[in-house]
Amino acid sequence: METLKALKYATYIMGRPFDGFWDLKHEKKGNLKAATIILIATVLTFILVKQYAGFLFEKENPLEFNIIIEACAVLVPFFLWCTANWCLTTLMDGKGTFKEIYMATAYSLVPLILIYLPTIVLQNVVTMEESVFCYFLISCANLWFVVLLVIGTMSIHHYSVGKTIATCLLTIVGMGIMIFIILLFFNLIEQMVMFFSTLYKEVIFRL
Amino acid sequence: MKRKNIIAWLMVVIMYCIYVPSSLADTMFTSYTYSFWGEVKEAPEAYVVSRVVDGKALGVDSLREPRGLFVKAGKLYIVDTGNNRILICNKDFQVIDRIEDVMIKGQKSPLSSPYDVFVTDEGEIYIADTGNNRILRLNDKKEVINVITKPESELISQSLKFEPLKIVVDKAGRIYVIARNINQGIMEIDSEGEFNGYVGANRVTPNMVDFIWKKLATKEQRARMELFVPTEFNNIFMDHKGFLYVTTDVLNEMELYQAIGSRDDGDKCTPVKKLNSMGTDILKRNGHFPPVGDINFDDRGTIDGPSRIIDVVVDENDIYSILDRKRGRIFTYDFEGNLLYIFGELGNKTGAFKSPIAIEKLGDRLVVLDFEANQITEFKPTTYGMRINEALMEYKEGDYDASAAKWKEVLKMNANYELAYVGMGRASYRNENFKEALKYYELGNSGKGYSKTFKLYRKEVIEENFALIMSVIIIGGIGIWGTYLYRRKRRRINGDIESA
Repeated sequence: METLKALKYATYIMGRPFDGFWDLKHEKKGNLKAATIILIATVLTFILVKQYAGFLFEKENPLEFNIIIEACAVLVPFFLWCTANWCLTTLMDGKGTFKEIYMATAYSLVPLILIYLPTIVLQNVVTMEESVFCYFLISCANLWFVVLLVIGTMSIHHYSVGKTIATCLLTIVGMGIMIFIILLFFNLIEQMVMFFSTLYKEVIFRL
Repeated sequence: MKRKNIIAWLMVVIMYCIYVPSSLADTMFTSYTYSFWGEVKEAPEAYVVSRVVDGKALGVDSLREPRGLFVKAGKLYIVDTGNNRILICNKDFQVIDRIEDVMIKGQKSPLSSPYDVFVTDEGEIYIADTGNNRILRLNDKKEVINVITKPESELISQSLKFEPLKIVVDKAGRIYVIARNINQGIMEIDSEGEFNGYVGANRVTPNMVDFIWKKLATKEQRARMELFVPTEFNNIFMDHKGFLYVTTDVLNEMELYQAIGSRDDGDKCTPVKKLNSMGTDILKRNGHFPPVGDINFDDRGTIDGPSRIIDVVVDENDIYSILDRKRGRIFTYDFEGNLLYIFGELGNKTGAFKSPIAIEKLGDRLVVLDFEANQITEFKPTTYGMRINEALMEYKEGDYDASAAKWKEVLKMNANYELAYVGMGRASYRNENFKEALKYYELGNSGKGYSKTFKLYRKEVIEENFALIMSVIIIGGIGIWGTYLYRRKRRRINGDIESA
């Protein structure tokens, strides 16, 4: 019941983000469970968008559709954002904990779910000339999401506007650095594995 | 037990994560098409090699570095450049005549490495006598009417030698010449030998990076830099309506990649063009990809990158075939720019090319001249190829149903043929069978057709179910309103004011 209330609270945040995120942090209006449900719902929404977008909106070969990759396309940037944001804000004396960052980010995703889902239906009943409406709705959702994300970061960490924008930009840079390190790490591991496997083969051949 | 379960599920997840690469063309199909998504789809052969003709089979000594082919009124003209002669054959490849020299003012004047020949409807023969820096105009009895040498004009550099490589002549007797070292466009020379100007110069579009770079460079560096020159054409063809088709193979590879990637339908970066009398490109590029030859490149050693288009031939239905010198393939497109079929290959076996240089259409057969193997390869259409050609012909004549019947036969032979689905969809659309048309358009990946059909289909559905839709809307509206009233009333009774 509490989770349901926390979920309902997401719609309140959409309308009044400043109050909403403040109460999310201080009045404990949201909870982790609700945030996770929102995150999963977003993943599902993105999968549905890919799978059931009207024929005129297909941008990728449906035969190469892969649910895991679609899910990763949402989850990886999400957690990268949370982590990078947490790393930065701990250094830049932000007041938010990781839990709060996670919740605020998840709650900002709500407009995406609420607008993308009806857009899927709309995509199946419009012609090419009317497709502009769909693209308009999608851009609205994206913009709304970005605004919520910025306001969320601002409220959670008690930042000023300028500092928030700087933090957000730095967070994106941080995400890039993290991806770089992860790729480097995998590359090194791969090289090591290769090295040992060739070593093993070499030894086997000689013996 | 539980851990086992977790491991099992993890393995399932990993299994799904493994990326299976879509099969690229690393095995050689001689015949294939490209799907909407740019995948290589194997296809039945549309044309097969029916005959390979060398000099001996023609009844003369062997050809040497032949460079040009021309077909008029069932006669095939072979420009045997290395032997300084032009051979005229009938459609069974029997030499019936040859031109080795001409009589000019009572004096014998032999040809010297001719590159091209053109024959008008009246039977006048034009020869690009490249080694002698002239164009010869002969009448149907092979008597010289006119000798056209380098035209006088300040637009042509004085020091430049006039070396005509490819010529066509329109109905008014204007000669269109592609000459060596002239990149301003196609030279237009009137029947008297006067220079009229250049047509169809490729536009030069310098980009921003080059511009900035040039600003920064010193004078010496600038001089060493590549000049912004328009691309040179390498071949020209005049169709039955008098439009010029020109080809080029010196395009910037990066730009070509971009054009393919963005499915560009403009005329900025394109190896084949159709020019009207104003010199503007009017080729339709409504296919999934622009007509540039290969979309996916199966790079193998020295052969990599985009196709190099060397020649083009157009038939009476505006279906045109372009010849790729790099991989020895022939790509055929219809008048809308849809890729129809691909065939031909390089190699050492019979029927494969070494260095194809020219293509012509002899009746319903295609003939390709090989510059290195000194032979002509003749292709004849298979049932599959014939059905496609017929379907397009009937579509062009406006007989959609007959066309659909032909497409149906094509689909029996190749279920991956998207254009056939579009053809079927078109017929269904005409017959107002919108639901079926939608299905076909979706299979054929035609967004435009789908959208057009969907508009009418939607209207039809709404009209048929108008009463139902309206009642749902009215009942739904009343329902929502009722719930709203009820909840407001209850809220007032409970005295419970929600924060929202």
